[in-house]
Amino acid sequence: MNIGKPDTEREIEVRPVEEPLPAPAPAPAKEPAPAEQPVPA
Amino acid sequence: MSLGATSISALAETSIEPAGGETSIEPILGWRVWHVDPGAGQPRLCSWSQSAEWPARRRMEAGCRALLGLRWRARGHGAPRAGHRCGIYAFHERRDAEALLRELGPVGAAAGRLPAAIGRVSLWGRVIENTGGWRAEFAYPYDVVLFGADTSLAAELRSRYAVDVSIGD
Repeated sequence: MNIGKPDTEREIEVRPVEEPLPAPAPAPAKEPAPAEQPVPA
Repeated sequence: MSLGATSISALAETSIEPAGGETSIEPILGWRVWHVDPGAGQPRLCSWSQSAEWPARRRMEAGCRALLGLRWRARGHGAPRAGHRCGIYAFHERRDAEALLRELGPVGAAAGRLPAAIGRVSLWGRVIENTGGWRAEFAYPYDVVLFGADTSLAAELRSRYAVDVSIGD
């Protein structure tokens, strides 16, 4: 990508209060633990 | 010409920060081109020229491969550097990204190539602006238009990166 010659550069410092990132991916839902089976007497 | 260790050290300790640089709290929006590795249900945006993978839901960080850049980076002076070619590139104008995409030729499975994308990226951190665009320290996709791809790939990419993804004409 050509965006210009080195002698036409200028520097900008961009420090947003909050970085423009999405929320982290939700954790995969855990399968419910199987209910305990009654032990036959 | 070769630079000995003493010369490198002396250069690294010389400040080359531009005087009177601007500051902003608003991320910049620029345009760029990617190719899209479909993966196995985990599609990835990749830089066209460097093939670097753009991480999902985390910022893309620039690096400098120059010998001196590595030295400076260790001292807290990361990419992009004025006068270098490092940084995450983006154009000012959409038409420049579209022109680059056209130069790359047909994309997608029908052309035997990976799908491609153009889109906007948020840029922040240290940013070097030039007449046609920017080189930035950090970036994340803002929205993406896919070419040579189908709606299922768009949905997977949307879910993975959590950005708007559409199919181009």
